[in-house]
Amino acid sequence: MDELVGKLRAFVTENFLFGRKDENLSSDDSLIEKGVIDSTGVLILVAFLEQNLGVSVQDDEIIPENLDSLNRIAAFAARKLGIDRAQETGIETVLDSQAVAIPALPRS
Amino acid sequence: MAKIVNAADFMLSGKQKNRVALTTSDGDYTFGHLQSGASEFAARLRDAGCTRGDRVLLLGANSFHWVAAYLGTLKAELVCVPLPAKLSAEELKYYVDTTAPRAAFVSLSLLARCAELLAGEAITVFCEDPPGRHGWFQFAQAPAGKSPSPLSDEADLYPDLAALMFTSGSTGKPRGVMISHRNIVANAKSILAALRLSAHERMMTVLPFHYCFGASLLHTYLRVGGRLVLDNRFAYPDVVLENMAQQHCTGFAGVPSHYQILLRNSSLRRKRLPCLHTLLQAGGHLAPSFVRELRESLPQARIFIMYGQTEATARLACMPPEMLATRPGSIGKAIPGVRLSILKDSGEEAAPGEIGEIVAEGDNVACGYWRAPDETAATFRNGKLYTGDLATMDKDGFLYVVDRAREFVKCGGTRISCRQIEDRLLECKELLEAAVIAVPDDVLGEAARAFVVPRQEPFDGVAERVRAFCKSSLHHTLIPRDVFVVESLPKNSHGKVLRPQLKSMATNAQGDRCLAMEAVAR
Repeated sequence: MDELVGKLRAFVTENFLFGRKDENLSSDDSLIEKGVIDSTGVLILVAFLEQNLGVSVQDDEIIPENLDSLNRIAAFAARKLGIDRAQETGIETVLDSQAVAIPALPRS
Repeated sequence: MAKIVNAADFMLSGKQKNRVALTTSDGDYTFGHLQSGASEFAARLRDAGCTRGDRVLLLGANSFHWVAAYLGTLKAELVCVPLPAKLSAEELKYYVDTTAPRAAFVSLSLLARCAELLAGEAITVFCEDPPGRHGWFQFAQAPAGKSPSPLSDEADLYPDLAALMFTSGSTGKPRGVMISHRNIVANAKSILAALRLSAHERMMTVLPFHYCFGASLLHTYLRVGGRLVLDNRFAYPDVVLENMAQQHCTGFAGVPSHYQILLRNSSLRRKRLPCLHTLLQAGGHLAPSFVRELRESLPQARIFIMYGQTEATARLACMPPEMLATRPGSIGKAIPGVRLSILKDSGEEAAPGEIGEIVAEGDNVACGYWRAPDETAATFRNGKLYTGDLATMDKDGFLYVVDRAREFVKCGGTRISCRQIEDRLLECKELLEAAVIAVPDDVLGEAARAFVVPRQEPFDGVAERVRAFCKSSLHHTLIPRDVFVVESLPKNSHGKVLRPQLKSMATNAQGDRCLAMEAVAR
């Protein structure tokens, strides 16, 4: 996760913080509140997630809850990549969850 | 002498205490909250030793505490200095040196960045209480015995002074426009007469209050008893649209880039917004193709295309919505209480259709620039505001702004307006924004260079398609020599494109995010 946050920090620093050497961005800071990002920036960030990190982002996932701090972006990306990995290993996981879901048979 | 109305009283008096005034991410705040908050902040300022005319910095994004601090400062007859939240240490030092404030409201999220600088000056700093509480705590106190440099003689000249609104000009340092209580009240009354707002209004507010357009929303909607829905997340336009739907917003106010983004990079066209009936647009020229798209997307809305500047408190002219189709590109006529003339260099009024400078008169004309006598004398002459904008007036009194003198391309002996080329380029729906500058050309003297921002990635092929579009749709004199595709245009904190920066962009070194990504020469 730290590595992911590091990659994101490097991307944000290079693309949104250039020239601002006095900028102190913590991993929890709101990018909106800090004035780091505008709507174009959000789209550039989403493109980075999709093209460089392989995260597919749906339109309704482009919300501050998922993207408004380095930690949130990392958590979002990790969640998405985790889900994708589970889909690759596929059948095992589906069967496991089905086994848990089967209710006990009623007594006749 | 007539009694000067206090702008805070103008906005707050006579309102029901439990009527909601602000809706924020922290919840609803009533006029009662604003009244007691303003009184409390005013008392804290007085206790901190502030006397009439002292300056109070306001540093933070739009919030209940920002509004209460603004109203409290006005109530205490002190001078508000609203500043952009995104400030470097150097910029903050400039404002502190220029205005010599005695106190400041700084929002919690900015405190870390500003604390060191402000602590070193004789400034008492207030910060907002945590969510759920409506007051302030004092973060820093001015050291005993230390007082700000004696600039109060300037404030004494303007006993009615309410605020210093800094214009982020595209050249040179920002200048503080001196706005009085009288200015605020007069301009608010004029705007209300032009817009015919009711107490049932709920205005989606994405514009920062440190900007005169944003401040004018406060002045008008609070006065009329309406509600402001604050949302600082326009970086996520769909989130704001959803909030508008949920809050049943009746209005939206924006500068051109807000509307460009809404029309070409958001779900606006798919969104149901049955309550939305008022759209306010100011802060620059919105290309006719966007006005058309706006009318098509929101046919139930009255669209007010407006013109003004900080030096006029906010607004000078407004276009009647029902005439948008018949007079495209017009900024309308003077709002009630304002008189606009088009004057030639000789000082004579221009004839209909003749180009001249827009000169304004009215109680909304500001007192001048703070500590800048030369600029004040050049801009504010005999009580009139020389706006610096060139325009024509037609025989019915409707105004059409023409580019400022420097925004033309002199190409082979013909003068072509940059704006005209930009407007035509924006007919290409693939584009979000466009800016055109004049660059030297060996053969023609000057040629047009266009910087275009596509709606979305990938950017591959955009330059070619724009060139093809130009060839098929534009008169040959309007086709730019160069088309540079960029991720964004450099802008100031009011959303205005910084043209001087565009001129140096193409020759910039790497590392600049706005570096031209593709250049296609003719």
